[in-house]
Amino acid sequence: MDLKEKIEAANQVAVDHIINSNPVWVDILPAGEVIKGLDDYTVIHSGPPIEFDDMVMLHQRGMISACLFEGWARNEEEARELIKSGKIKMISALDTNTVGAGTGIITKSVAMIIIEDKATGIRVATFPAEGVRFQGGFCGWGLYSPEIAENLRIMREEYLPPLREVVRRRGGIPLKPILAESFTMGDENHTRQTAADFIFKQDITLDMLKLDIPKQQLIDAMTYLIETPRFFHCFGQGAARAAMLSNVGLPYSTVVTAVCGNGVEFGIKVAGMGDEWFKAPAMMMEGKYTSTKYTIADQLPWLGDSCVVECAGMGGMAAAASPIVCNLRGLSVKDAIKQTRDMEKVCVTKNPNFVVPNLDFDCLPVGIDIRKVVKTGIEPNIHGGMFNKEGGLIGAGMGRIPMECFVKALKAFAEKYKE
Amino acid sequence: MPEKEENKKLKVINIGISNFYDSLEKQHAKVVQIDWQPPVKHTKEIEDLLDALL
Repeated sequence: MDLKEKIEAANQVAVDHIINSNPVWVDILPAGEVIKGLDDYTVIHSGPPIEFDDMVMLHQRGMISACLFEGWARNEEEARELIKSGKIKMISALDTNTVGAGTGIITKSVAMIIIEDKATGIRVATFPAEGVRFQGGFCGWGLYSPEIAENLRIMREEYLPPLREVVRRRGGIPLKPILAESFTMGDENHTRQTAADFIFKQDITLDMLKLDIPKQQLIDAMTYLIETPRFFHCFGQGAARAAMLSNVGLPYSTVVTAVCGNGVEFGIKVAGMGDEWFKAPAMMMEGKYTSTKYTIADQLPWLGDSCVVECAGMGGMAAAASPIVCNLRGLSVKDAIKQTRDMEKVCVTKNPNFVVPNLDFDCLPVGIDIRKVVKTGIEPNIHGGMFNKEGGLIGAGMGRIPMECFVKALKAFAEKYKE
Repeated sequence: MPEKEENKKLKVINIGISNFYDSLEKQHAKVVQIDWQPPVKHTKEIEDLLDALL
């Protein structure tokens, strides 16, 4: 085979891994028991690797929050000293088997949703939503307070154990059927999980009611489950991340395995290039603010790893499935369909598991190919939330992965595989 | 919007920017959209790389 044939063959393997992945929610465990390298005095963050001094305020605050939450420091000053001393190890979430939504701050004792790809045995940990009051306070939106810390402990000790008992009794809950059905019901599974939430919560409610636990604990756990918006988001991210890990280091493949930002830089990884990052300045999003008081001056450049779902053919790739999400940017149904059709031009193939009525029951594109991105000049669309520079969510919309990432990756790939 | 008399005679194939298609369609003109954009102009280095890899 010549080089082009080797690439085509490898890319077929890569998309087969994604299409044939079988993500199953199997457990809830402390992060340190599942995430590789997450030891004591270690903090995981979203985006490509970055030094503490170069981090945006949200990440810096997250690092400090992590030290306080784990009891490594008694106050902010001590936490800063500890971090500056070099004792705290920092790991990029997409350099290990997890995914960092938003700020992506994760430490060893945080309770995590565990998802296993039954096709490969790969296990990943994904951070559960923090409930209706705090949503993404600790991990996501870069906020921290004694109440948020207390909520994390309540989640770990009160809300999540009943869910863990249900999933263990069930022997795992398959996620692909939920994702597939939700794509026919208006979700694109990045910004919108309304249908997936309904399907998922309906699926486990009866099993929750069968648990032999104190009634108040059951009510509290059910309240957390039912009231938390976008509860299924972390499951979609975990499913996507598990599929992507099966492609890391796949020789000759030009398929993207990771995309993420840290508010300063945006980075991608490519299957055939292993864990090497290809970075560019982080881009701004366009979309709709939650209040007219916000402007672009309040907005942070792209932060977070949740766009791992786009690598698996969801979110921005699936715009046609969710015109309501695209309408946040003033787009019509026709525009949403065009977005997905444009994404087809930069992807290897279509995923027969994910059928969309608005595409006249055609399937969603999957497998972003760096060669096609550079060739067409089409920067892949990724959906997501807009961050306030001071912390918190101020809107939702879309960003485009910088072309510079793909050009750098293409050059490095050509150098590595030249014949 | 009522159909304009002069648009009844128009049969348009719009290639590229879809705003023209949208505008004509709203005026009930017979119009077909062809999705097209000019090929991206690459540097010689990138063109050579793409020739080798794609």
